[in-house]
Amino acid sequence: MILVKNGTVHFPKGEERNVDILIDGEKIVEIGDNLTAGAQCIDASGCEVFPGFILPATSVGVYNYADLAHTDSDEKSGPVNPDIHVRYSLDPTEVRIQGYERHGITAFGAVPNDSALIAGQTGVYHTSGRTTSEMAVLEDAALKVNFIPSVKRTFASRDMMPMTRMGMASMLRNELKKASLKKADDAGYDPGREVLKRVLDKELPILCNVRERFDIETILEIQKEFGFRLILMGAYQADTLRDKLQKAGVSVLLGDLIDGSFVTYYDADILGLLEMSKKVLTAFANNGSGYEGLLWSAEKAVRNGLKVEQAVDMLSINTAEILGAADKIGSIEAGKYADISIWDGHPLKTYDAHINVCITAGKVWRAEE
Amino acid sequence: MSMLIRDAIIYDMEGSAPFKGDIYIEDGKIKQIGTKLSVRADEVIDADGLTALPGFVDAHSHLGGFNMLNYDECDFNEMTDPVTAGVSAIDGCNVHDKCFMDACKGGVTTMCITPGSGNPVSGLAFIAKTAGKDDIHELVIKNPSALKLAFGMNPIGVYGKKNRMPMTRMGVIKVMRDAFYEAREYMAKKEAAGGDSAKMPDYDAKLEAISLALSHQIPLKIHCEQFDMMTAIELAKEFDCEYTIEHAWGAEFFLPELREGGGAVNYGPVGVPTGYGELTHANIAEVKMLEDEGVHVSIITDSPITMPELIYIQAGEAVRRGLSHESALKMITINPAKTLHVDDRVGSIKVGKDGDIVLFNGVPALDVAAGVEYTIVEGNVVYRRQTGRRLWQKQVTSS
Repeated sequence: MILVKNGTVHFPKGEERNVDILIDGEKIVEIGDNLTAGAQCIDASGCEVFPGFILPATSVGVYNYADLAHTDSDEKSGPVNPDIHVRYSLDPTEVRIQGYERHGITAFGAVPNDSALIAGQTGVYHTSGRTTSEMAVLEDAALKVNFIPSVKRTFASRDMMPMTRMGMASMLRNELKKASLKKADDAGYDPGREVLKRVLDKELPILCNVRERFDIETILEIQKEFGFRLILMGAYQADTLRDKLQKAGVSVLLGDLIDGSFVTYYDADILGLLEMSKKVLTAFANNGSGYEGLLWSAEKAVRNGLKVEQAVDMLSINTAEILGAADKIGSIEAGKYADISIWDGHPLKTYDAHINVCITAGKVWRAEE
Repeated sequence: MSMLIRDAIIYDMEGSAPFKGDIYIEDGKIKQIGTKLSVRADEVIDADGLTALPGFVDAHSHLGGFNMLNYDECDFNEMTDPVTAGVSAIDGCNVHDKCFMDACKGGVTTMCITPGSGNPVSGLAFIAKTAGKDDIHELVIKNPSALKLAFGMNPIGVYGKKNRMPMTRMGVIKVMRDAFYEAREYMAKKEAAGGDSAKMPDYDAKLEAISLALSHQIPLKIHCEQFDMMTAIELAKEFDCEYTIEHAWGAEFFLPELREGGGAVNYGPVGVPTGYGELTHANIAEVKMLEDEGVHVSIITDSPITMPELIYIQAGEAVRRGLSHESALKMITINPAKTLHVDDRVGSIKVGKDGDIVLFNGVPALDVAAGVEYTIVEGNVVYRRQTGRRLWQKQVTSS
């Protein structure tokens, strides 16, 4: 048992209370005043206590940086791979060496990379753990679809479909349509079809990687036809479709807001995206950068006028809701995983705030400095 | 043309404690600094509540030479030969690229813009302002400013695929050393000719460029990380060249050697995933370790690899990891100005220096919410934060 005492604890929607948190094993068991227990005590007096931040979609951990010539995140042998799962490429060591604890990041969404149209299934994992199973928060979180130029570039060079946007849309529709119809022989082994059926049954959302407004418009049209749940990532122009996204119940992973190549070349309107976040469920994201990028995206939003409290939600509870894991992570609540960071100040208010402790599923990390 | 900035909290980076005062700029230069200056100016900025700093100086950038959406269209890596010392970054730099506006938004007013690291001897870097004129040649402070060299995975990755030397680190240093010896012989022949054109060796742009470094006219600007830094220092010593260490990831393991070597370190960028080899130790906490060791350090962005605004975000991250706020600000202003030998013009707010000022609403590298309100280059506002704009009705670009 671990007791976090006397900290200023941050709850969703800006609620702050001076309470104690009791942890048993991997989970939070009680939150209240003046808790005592025969437990290891972490004194958080004068400190700010946050729910573990969540990196919603990254291929770091899946990439295989140990051997850059044989990376593990991009199965681009063909454009359609609904039946592969990111968990088999996820290397706990690669995750561990990132040092996510330094920014209080305790969970992440692992996703395949950007070359295939239907790239594979994603999962949500803790940033600490010996094995993928030990790290798993929610496996089968989403099916990742790439609706971005890298897909057509990949297959055009092989003289294969899809080499155009038309090809991409047509293939995606075709796969979904096939899965929606009865098959002549329904008995055979067809794992991809099972995954797509779960998408059509709204069990598994599509996590769609997009860039421009044009991409989003096409994917919204396909969503209208098939009625799946949709999460957008890399949606640098999503604000231009704010009302449509809200109406369709689409959520958005913003970012990466500090990635100059996309923010600049796609004319991302930070103020517009933040305005959108008032109506559309939105969280910060970064894909492929180091542990710093997530907090830096949130900082940029704060510099552009986002309230600090909302920024914290967009690093934690909003992210958990979008990923479908809000019953397990995303806030400090009895019954959820003990994912907590303790700072000597508020990291979204001052750079002179330093992390002291990060707890990931009950495991305690202390800052070395 | 004159400008008066009134009532700002001034961080002059000349050693003074922050003070409230006015800055008067005339014909591009800072003419007066003081409280309640009684001067008339063509333009007056009420900076009450704002913080004034010297425009940031980024000692390592590739702005205008990389197209980040189409990496094949890169004008800063002439990867046809391992030694392309004779190419100049300024000839590949498109000042009309959108990224230059990002520099203004990030408060960066001076940059050292360098060729990429695809070749061991990559070419010539230059130093320029980021805005104020629309022709890169009119923005130049110094050209060429350094000879760029690159160790490690970048050149090995390029030539390894071609089965050409250098495929290894052993090959990289050999290629560099051979080129330097060739340049030394070239210089000797030129000297022996004693002005007699009949005895002069054939003109060679590549060897001319290396000669600039060998004759102490420009420093070596050496891309290297980890143990490659030791090779870099060995080479610089062998040829008695001034040098700077660029990127310097993993510096914490080579602190005494970096101090004894005497070259300045241009550190960064961080925010990259941790991997193996060169990706193992990108850690902003290293700037503090270097400073504690007595090494002259600056923080770089490598823009557009990262956004120019990362210069002050990384400075903030260094504070988060224990660096003093004062040192963090120095590492993005006066330190790089000194490293680049342009501190007579930029890097601090001082009478006689260029009127390059960035105004923040708050204190950068300390207040997370502090953002750039104005960027001023030589007394001209080149960026002002937009407010009260109409949302939802904008032009959407299509690629």
